[in-house]
Parts: sequence; structure tokens; C-alpha cells
Amino acid sequence: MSALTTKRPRGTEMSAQPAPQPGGPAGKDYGRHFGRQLRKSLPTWFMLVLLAVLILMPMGLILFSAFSSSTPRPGAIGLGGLTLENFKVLTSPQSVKALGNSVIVATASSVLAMLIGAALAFLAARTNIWGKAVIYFIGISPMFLPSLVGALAWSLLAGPATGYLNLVTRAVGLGNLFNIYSMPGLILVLALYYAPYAFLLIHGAMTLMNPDLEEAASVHGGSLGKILRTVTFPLVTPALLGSGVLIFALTMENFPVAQMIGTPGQIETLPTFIYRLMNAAPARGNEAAAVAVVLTVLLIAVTAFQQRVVMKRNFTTVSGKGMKPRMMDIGRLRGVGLAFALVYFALAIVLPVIALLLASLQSSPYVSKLGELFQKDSLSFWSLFQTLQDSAFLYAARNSVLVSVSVAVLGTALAFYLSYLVYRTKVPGRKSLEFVAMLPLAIPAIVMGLGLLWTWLILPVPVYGTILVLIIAFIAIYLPQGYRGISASILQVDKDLEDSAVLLGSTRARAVAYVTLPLMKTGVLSTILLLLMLAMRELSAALFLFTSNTRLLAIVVFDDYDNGALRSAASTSLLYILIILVLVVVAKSFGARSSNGGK
Amino acid sequence: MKVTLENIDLKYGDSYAVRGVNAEIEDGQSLVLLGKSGCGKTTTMRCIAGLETPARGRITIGDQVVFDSQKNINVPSHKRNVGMVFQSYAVWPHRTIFENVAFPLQMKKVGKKEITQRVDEALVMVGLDGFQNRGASLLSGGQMQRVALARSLVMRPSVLLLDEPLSNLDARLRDRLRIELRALQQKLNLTCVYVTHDQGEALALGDRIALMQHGRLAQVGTPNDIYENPASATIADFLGVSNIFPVHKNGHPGVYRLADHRLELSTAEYSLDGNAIAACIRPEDVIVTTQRAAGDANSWSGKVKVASYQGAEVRYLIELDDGPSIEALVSRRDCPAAGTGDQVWVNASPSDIQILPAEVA
Repeated sequence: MSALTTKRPRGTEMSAQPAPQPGGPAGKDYGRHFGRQLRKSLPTWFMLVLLAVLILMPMGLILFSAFSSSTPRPGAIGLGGLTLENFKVLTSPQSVKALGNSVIVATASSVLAMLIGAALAFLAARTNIWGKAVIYFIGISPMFLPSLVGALAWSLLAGPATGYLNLVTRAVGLGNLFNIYSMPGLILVLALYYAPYAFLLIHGAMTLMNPDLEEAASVHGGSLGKILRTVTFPLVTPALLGSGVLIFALTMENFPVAQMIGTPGQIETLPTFIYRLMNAAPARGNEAAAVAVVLTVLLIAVTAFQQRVVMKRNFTTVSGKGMKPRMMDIGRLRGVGLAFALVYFALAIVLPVIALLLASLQSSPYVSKLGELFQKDSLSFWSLFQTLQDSAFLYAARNSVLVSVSVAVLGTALAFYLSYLVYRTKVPGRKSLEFVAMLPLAIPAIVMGLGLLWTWLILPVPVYGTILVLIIAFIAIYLPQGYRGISASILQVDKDLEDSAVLLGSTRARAVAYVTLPLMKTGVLSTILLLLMLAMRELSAALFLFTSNTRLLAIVVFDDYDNGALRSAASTSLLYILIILVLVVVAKSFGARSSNGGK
Repeated sequence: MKVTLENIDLKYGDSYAVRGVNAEIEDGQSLVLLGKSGCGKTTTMRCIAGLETPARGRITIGDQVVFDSQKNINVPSHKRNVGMVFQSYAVWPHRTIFENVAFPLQMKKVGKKEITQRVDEALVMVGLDGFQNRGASLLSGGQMQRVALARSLVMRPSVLLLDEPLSNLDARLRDRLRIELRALQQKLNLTCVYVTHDQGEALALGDRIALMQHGRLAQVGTPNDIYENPASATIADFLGVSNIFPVHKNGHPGVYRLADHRLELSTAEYSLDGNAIAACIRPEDVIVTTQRAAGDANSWSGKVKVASYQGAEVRYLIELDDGPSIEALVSRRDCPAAGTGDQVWVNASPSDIQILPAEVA
């Protein structure tokens, strides 16, 4: 904490300096100035080194490998084999195809996700639909289902021959109607599980909208439809655009769904292409790095655009003054809206969970007719119990909880330290710290994982292969989310509150502990919860970093699926969801208790 | 305790927020830093508190040098024993009033019994006795201000800083607290520094007023001094002199011609000449009559554009024939029977017209 205080010991100035020039007052002044500057920037340097190891070094190594003939290994990193050879892979038909697929899939799924999210948000925030709380719950619930699990469930549901939906259609004589291993299938699954991001952002913008603006339009003679078109939607355009671009970036870099749904259908995207290059024997790391560079550049362009759009959001007349937005009477459309929400809920949650249940309960691994599912002894809890007792599962569950709790706590602490430096101090270089901290937003998790692999291979500390490297990786990729949450919260606490404690005789560190942190409690807790969820769900960043001793639940599910052990994958997935729910409930009630205990 | 500021410079990036400020506040006296927003007054105050670090200069509180850029002294805020009432009050909403006020004593490691006693004393002083166990988030603005004041008083500060202490209160409460604050400061013999942009507040609270413009001290003096003899037209403007007309010297001593109109003013004798000079007439010194007053040097006819009743006074805006609009503040008793559109006569005594430079040199 000492770096937080602006304490300046008297009289230690001169001794701390390397070489104060003797004589002239000008020289002395310069030395003193230099010493002061150095001490002032110490926290920045410390943080910069931390961020460099966390973020800049992995990115640098990716870039370096893309132009090198060998991948970084301990003691084998030099500028020897600089080459452009690796980029030849980009001209191959496969990679051109992968790039095209990525763009098509990301565009289509983000448009679809936006439509779903915006419609649900409008219904929940601004209309007189029945059961608004239920609609809200439907809007966010898919967040609790990792896209990896969603993809698994949909391959169980709509796999071309044995999918449960096809069993049903076959049973009624329609034949196999569904094939999820296709472009539309991939787009659908991504859209289903990324719609909540659109929902949350747009719902926020719609509830915070100043009702005066719409009432003014109404007073001046606008009809409902006209108001919606000319006032309401234009006002939330920044939120719409912002979430659209965010989802585009997220679906573009998504690996689990692309791998589990796309790969069986021979649809390759850039992330799966990187994965395949790394898994080739021998691994083609340099070419993977070249593809990673292209994917990252694409995402940086998209994210930069999104940042600009989000900046514009400040100019909209959305303010949080506890006013009640107008509820619009949509009359008979209420039924349509409710049906729409329920269909979405069925597709995103109900059907997938049923599929997972069936898959983990069915006693024979293959079911070719619907009837077989209803025969005696065809369903049993044997597999679920088996999984529960499986030491590999228990070990992975332990790892997952350990990693996500550590990431949540340490990541929030780091984010706090960083936000404090940026918003509460005048240390030089704080804006560049912020820039570096936000970079992972534009780096695909799978690429970050690759960079971190090489980073911790060559760093002379025994971290690679331990669970620590997973914690470090997750903290790095989720630093932007943590930083944003904490910054928003620190900005809401007036700086005077802390300064007054210092004036009244407390040290800076004590003032932070006595005033600032307690007032930020809600924001800190929700950031911890967010990081906990994100870390619990993460697969891509861990792909190249885990070892047989540090498998996470996501890895177990992915491996089982890869090895065709669908039943085991399904039972693990169910327990995985359960653990996520328990963690969220525990964290929330813990938060509620401690904020009640405060006073 | 006596507070001295010597040659304080403070820069944000390349521009000076505070430049060459010198000020002395005698023990038990109050100084008001008065100026528009962005003039550097709050920054100057925060330098005393140690919340801003000047680039250059020296600050002394009592016998202790708390900041000296030459000797590299910078005593941290929490060791300066400076009390401060923030504009936002900065009362901690997650603590009770007692906890808020007891905090500085806890930091000084005062015994529990003495803390209770001194907190009670302080709360009595600000009129909040009996509120000890209330949560601070449920207070009104005026009560918050009192808590903030008690919290600073309880530490027996060497100097008490108050940043716009009354600006967040409604008008009636403001008038009452203004008097209470002044009485408290005089009773406790407190050395105080106020920051305000409200000239009325400054006149009421300060033993002396330091008027700041663009980071510099433009004029320092007693309230009476400053009000009677502003150093420039912009200062006069800031102090509520609403009739300011650019003028040129006419050649005759004591006669000036308006720069933009064909009107002449008789004034006392000034040696000022040049382009950047202005005539300043307080609205309360403008006399409005329905008949021409005989023999007066400055007597013009005009038409009432706006007459606004303000209770004790009526404020007129009168457009002079062939001249500028002039504002007059007339006591209810002396009010002529003239409404909007009526023809009136406007008089100003030569001794009430000040010729001032536009800016302080």
C-alpha cells in the first residue's frame, strides 16, 4: 500500500540520488528534480512491469514468433531466423476460407444476437408485458451456461443422425430435419449464447432513458410508432452499435463453439485454424502466430471502432436520476412478445439442459430410435454418480473453483490498484497504464493463451505447468472487465471523502481502507462476481496452458467431447453448471450479508 | 496560527493555475479567496492543505514550514493539522455522525473518554447535540455542513479551510449560516481561509479579501476597501457594479466621453488616460426621478425598459436617449411612480462615478 501514499520522507532526498553534481545550484536543482520525478513515477513503473509481463510480453512473443523460424523456448530466443515465410500460410486456400467463415459467422451471429437481445430488452424495460421479471431473467440466464456447454448440448440435440430432435422428427415420420454441424447451426448457437450481452447493454440504456424526451415527442403530436422510430431507438443507438460490435468481436474469437459445432461440419474459423496448427505434429507454432497476428489486427480494428462508439454514448441524454421510464402499451403484441421470450428460453436453456440430462442418464451410449429412450432401464443415474465420484472430475472441479476464486480476488485487487493510480493520483504515465490494461479486450483469448505459453516457458520462474499460470492467464485476459467495473465504482466515490480523512490526520492507506473501499463495496463485490463467472467459464485461454495436473472443468468437458465420451461430457457439464450456480448464489448472499452488516 | 504563502506557483501541464501568490493571514483572522471559477482560488487553498503540490514557493503555518520547494520540504496532509470543510462536505455516508466527528481524535490516539467529551462539545458548538448516533446519509445539506464543520473543529486545527461552504444551501439557510460561521470564527479565534465566488459571502465572512484573477492575486484588502475602491473595472463588475462603460478622456479635467455613445460624464478628477479605461457606477448610486432635477451635472433622460420589483428594492433597466442602458437599484421608499415604457430622468453624482482601468496592470 505504501505506493499509494504520497508521503515524502524529508531529508532523504540527496542520499537517494545516484550522482548529485557538486557545486552549482543548477546542478543540485536538477538532481533533486530528477529524484522527485523518479519517486513520483515509482508506482507507475511497478505497474508497468507487471502489465508488461502480463500483457505486453505475450503479445510481443506472438508478434516475434510470427516473423521467426522457431518458436520461443528457454534460452533459444534470438533475432536469428527472421523471416516472412510464416505468412505464406495465409495465402493457403484453408486460411482464406477460415477468414471468410470467421467474418460470415461473426456478422450473422451478432446480427441475430442483437435482434434477440434488443427485442427482449425492449419488452422487459419499456412495455407492459406480463411478468417483466421473468423476461429479465430469461434475458440474462444464458450467461450462466458456458458457450462450451451450450455447444455440447446442441450437438446432442441436433447432431445429424443421433440428435434428440432428429429422433423426434424421425419418430413422427419426417426424417432427419436438423443438422447443427452447419453454417446456420453454428450461427444459431453463437447467437443464442451471446444475446445476453446485447440484452444487458440495451436494457441498461433503455431503463436509464429520460422519459421527458419521449413525453416531449408525445406532447408535440408524435404517435407511438413515430416516437419509437424518431426518439427511443435513436437514443439507444450508441448502446445498440456498441453491443453489436462487442458481440462481433466475441463471436469472432470464440473457440469452443466453432470447434464443437463448426469442425465436425468442416467449417473452419480463424481460432480453430490456430488450434489445429498448434496441435499438428510437429506443432506449427510460427504459422499459428502469423494467423494469430491477423486475427488480432482484425479485432483491434473492430474494438477501436467500438471504443469510439462507446465514447459517443456520453453525449446521449441518458442519465441515472432514478426516474421511471414510460411503459408502452403494446396491446395484443404482449402475447407475441411473451411467446418470443419463451421460445428463446427453450432454445437457450430448456432444450439444452434436457439434452444434457438425457445424455448423462441414458445407459447405452447410442440411441437410434426415440422409443429406446423409454424402455425399461434405459435411463439411470449411474453415469452422474460415476462422475461425482470420479477423482479426475473432483480434481478438475477443485482446480476450477480455486482458479476462479483466485482470479476474482486477485484480479479485482489489481484492478483497484490500477484504477486508483489512474483516477486518484497524478503519477506520470497513468494514461498509458490504462491503455495497456485495456489491450486484452482486442486480443483473442486463444491468442493470449498462446502468448502466455511462450512467456512462461522462457521466463526463469517455475510457473509453467502449475495452476498459477492459469490464474495469471485469466487475470490478464479479464483485466479490462475488472478495470472497467472498479473504475466506474471509484469514479462514483467523491475524492473529497478520502482527502478529508487525510486532512483529519489519517495516512493515505488508512483513508482508502476507512472511507474509499467501504463506499465502493457494491462495485467491488459485483466486479468479483463478474470475474468469478468469467473465469469459471473460460476455456480458450487455458487450452495451451493446462497440464494433466491442472485440468479445469471446461477442459474436461472439451476433452471428453473430443474423445467422443459424450455421456461423461454431458454429466460433467451438468455438474459444471451446478457449481457455477452455487458459486454465484454463495457470492451473492455473501455480498448481501456483508453489505447489510455495514449498517 | 499565522499562515504565510510566498511566491506560490502551480502548473497544470504548461499553463499556470496559480502564479506568484503571496498572502499572509494573521493568527485568528480570516481571509477570503474570491474569484470566478477557474481563477485558482481552490487550488491555492488545496496547496495549504497539502492536497496539491506547488511547483515553487513556500508555505508556513505557525512556526512550521510545511512546504518549501527550495529546501524540498513537503509535509504530508495528515501531519499539517489543517481542518477543511469541502464544498461537497465529504461527510462519510457509511458512518454515524459520532464516528465522523471522532475520526481526527482517533487518528491522534486521544483516549476514549476524552474523545466522547470533545465530540459532544463540538456537536454542541455547531448545534447538532443529540445527533451522535444518526447515520450520516440521512442528513440534510445544512446538517451535513455542520457535521463537516464539527469534524474539523474537534481537531483544533492550526488553520481551518472552507471551500465554498455555503454554496450548496438554500438562500435563507445561507444567510443564517453566514452569520453563525462568522460568529464562531471570532469566538474561537480561528485562523480561517474561505474560498467563494459569491461577493456577498466574501464581504460578510472575511477580515480581508484576496481577489484572484487568472491565477494571480488581483487585489487584497478589507471588505470595505475592496468594495469602495475596486482596483479595476473587471473587479468592480465582479463585485456587482453593473454599469460599466468604456470611456475616453475628454481634455477637460474631470470630464470623460463614453466610447460607444455621444454622452459625457462629469466625474471627480482622475489622471487616468488611454483606451482601456471605464466608468463604473453602482446601480444603488443611480437616482431615478420623473422630473428633471435642477443643476445636476450628470442628468439624462431615458425610457424604462424593465422594472422589476424585488421586495425591499426595485431594479430598473433604463435606456438613455442617445445612450446606453443603465441599471438602477432604488429603495422601495424612493421609488418613482414609473413603469415600463415611461419617460424618466436619471442622475448620478460625479463623486459616485469611478474611472478605473479595465484590468489590473
